[in-house]
Amino acid sequence: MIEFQHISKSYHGKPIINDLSFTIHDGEFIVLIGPSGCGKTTTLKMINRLIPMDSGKILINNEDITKKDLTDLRTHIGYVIQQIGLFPNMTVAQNISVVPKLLKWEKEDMDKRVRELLEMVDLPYEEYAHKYPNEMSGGQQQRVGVLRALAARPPVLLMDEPFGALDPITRDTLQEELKDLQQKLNITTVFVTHDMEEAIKLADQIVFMDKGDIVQMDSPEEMLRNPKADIIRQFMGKHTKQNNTIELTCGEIMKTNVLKVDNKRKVLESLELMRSKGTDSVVVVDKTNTYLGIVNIDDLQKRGVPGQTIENIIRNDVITLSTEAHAKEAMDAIQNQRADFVVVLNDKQKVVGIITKGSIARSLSTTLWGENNV
Amino acid sequence: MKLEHVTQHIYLVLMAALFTIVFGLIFGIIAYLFPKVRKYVIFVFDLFQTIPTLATLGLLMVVFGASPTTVIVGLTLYNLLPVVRNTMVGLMEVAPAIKEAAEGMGMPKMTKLFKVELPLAFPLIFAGMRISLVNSIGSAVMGFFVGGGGLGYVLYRGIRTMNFTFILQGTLTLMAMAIVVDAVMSYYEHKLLPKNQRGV
Amino acid sequence: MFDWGMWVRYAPRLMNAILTHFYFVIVSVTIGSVIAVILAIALSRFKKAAKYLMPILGIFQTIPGIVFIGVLFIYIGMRPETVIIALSVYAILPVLKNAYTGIVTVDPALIEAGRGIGMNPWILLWRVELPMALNSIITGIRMSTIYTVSWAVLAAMIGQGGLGEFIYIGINSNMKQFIVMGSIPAALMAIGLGYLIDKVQVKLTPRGLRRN
Repeated sequence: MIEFQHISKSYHGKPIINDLSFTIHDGEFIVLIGPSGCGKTTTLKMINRLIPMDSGKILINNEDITKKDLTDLRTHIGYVIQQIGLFPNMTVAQNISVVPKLLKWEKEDMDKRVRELLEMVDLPYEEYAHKYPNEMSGGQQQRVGVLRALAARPPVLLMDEPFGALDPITRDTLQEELKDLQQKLNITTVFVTHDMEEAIKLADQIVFMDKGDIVQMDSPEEMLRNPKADIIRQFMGKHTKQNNTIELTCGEIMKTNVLKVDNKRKVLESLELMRSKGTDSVVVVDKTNTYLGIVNIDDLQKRGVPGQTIENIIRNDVITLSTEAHAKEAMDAIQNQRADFVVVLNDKQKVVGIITKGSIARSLSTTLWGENNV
Repeated sequence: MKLEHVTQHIYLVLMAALFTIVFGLIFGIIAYLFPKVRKYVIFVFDLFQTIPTLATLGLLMVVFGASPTTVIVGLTLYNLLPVVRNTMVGLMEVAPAIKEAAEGMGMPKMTKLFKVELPLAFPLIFAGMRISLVNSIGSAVMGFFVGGGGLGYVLYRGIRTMNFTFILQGTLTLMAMAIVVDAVMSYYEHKLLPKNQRGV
Repeated sequence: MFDWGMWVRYAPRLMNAILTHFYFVIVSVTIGSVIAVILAIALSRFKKAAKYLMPILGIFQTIPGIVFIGVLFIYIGMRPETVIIALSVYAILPVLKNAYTGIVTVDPALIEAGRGIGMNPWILLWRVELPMALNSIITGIRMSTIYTVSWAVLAAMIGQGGLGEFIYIGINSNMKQFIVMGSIPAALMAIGLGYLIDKVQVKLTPRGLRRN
């Protein structure tokens, strides 16, 4: 059991942690989460005294950590960092054996332990034990990093954003492996992250911190149901992927093959172009591809003077949307406002695409039923 | 110690520096433009720096006789490596994006070299020149042995005749020269770096 | 250029000179390197002091070897010890600079990981910092060795033997053969030792630290 009793810490006069108190029970997976600067990493590093506290006490199994011998304390706490920190001059086996060696284990015991651990994460001994860190991928390295932390069978495991530097797929895999491992070994784990999704996935209890205080400490379920502060709600919105709404932008459903003409083109040329392409309107741009309007075949025929440019016949009443606008707005325009199409512009007012009834139908079916169902 | 010794010494160092810079740049550029010869170029100049100065000077003297020329040639050979290597590396380290942009605009190779790559590599090249120059101030001491004159003579006589004044004068002058040159060139080197690289 | 007759006649003396020279180099570089590494470790704990000390040591390096040997010889006399002391002192700086840089540029993440899992400062030094700095240290030793072969030539100036003897006599009496007999072995020694150290460096670098 880890108890924080009235812990405070300041840096150069600025308070980082204010009178923090909470308890972690044996075997629990605790996640510390919060915005940058909330003190979560500082809190973690006070447990193994990498950062000394200004006041207050931390007790591990009722022992004050400041009264314990430092080496003794740290060799019995596992520590995993974001940058992985495997010693590049040592093999996997040697890295994993570091703490056992410090604790003067027998060689055979160390060997056995290495084999045991590698097997647990599916890295066959023959292939991996004698590899060096620079011969492995980031995901494999961090697995070894975790094994190194667990080698001496510590009762407590500290992890500081351990998967932050890995790609999302590896991160997912490692999160699941970690959760499995932690439950199997029943090891008290304190995990720091800024990713709410990760917290919800892994934690038994989430400790949400802000500006050095605990805002809420609850199970993931509870926190999702009753977030006690706006900042927690914001965090969930920002960092959880909403898998239930279809979030599409105009940019994602538009047709990029837009028929455009330069505003200096002449009337007859443009008519011919529209006839050959079988369209009755065409988008007009200037020579930098900036949107000017559209011309419509009817207008051209009625008001166009052969030999002159189409500049005077440009209409401006077509709806335009930005690439970042919600696709819903395009659907709205076409459905409810009877537009035939919507022109899509980027943030510099350049024409990048067009949305028609046809393109809406197509993208809808792709989203709902997959690529090949159109 | 007479002024003539100091001026002799400076003459030797400056002449050697001149040739070192000219040939250093030439070989550095060649090594950059022709990747296949890089290994050999560096190997040869590393060799010159490895061979003890006096040995090189001695061998040169066998061929050229005892004269300032021998010393200048010897000093040049000995100190070419820093300039050659830094020129080569400096050119290699110019951001590929910039090189690509220049090529893409249609710049001919030589123009690209002189107008884009060399200017950008200059801080590093300058550092190489600084190292060479400071080193040659010290190595030129050996010069007097092979007929070049210079402060080496002052030192040698001082030791032989146990004349402390000579030794002190010679040493302090040399140290002063080296410190001044190093400080001045370091200052400019620092100024040459674009603002975001000036860590100090 | 090569009068082989002379080479044969003076072979024993030449061998002697080569061995003396070699002895001076090896002993001085060893002493200098050991002192340098110890100093580097000490300095790495007091980085603020290092900021001032390193430039000062650099200035010392600009004092030509000839001066140092000369001054020492006046005080200690013409003995082999004079040469060894002078050469050892000069051998310190290249190794010191490289060792110091090697130690303080170890990836901070490794230091944090080491401390976090329970390594005390000595173990951290021995198992993390020094192994990571080893490459730089050996490069420093290589530089030091090559410089020392050069400086040891000056030993002959105070009558202590070594290849400088041949070179000086050759220059002073304009006997070209002697110059060659002194210079070429000196050159070969420098090149040979450099090559050897390179090989050792490759052997001592674990696969995990080699830059592919």
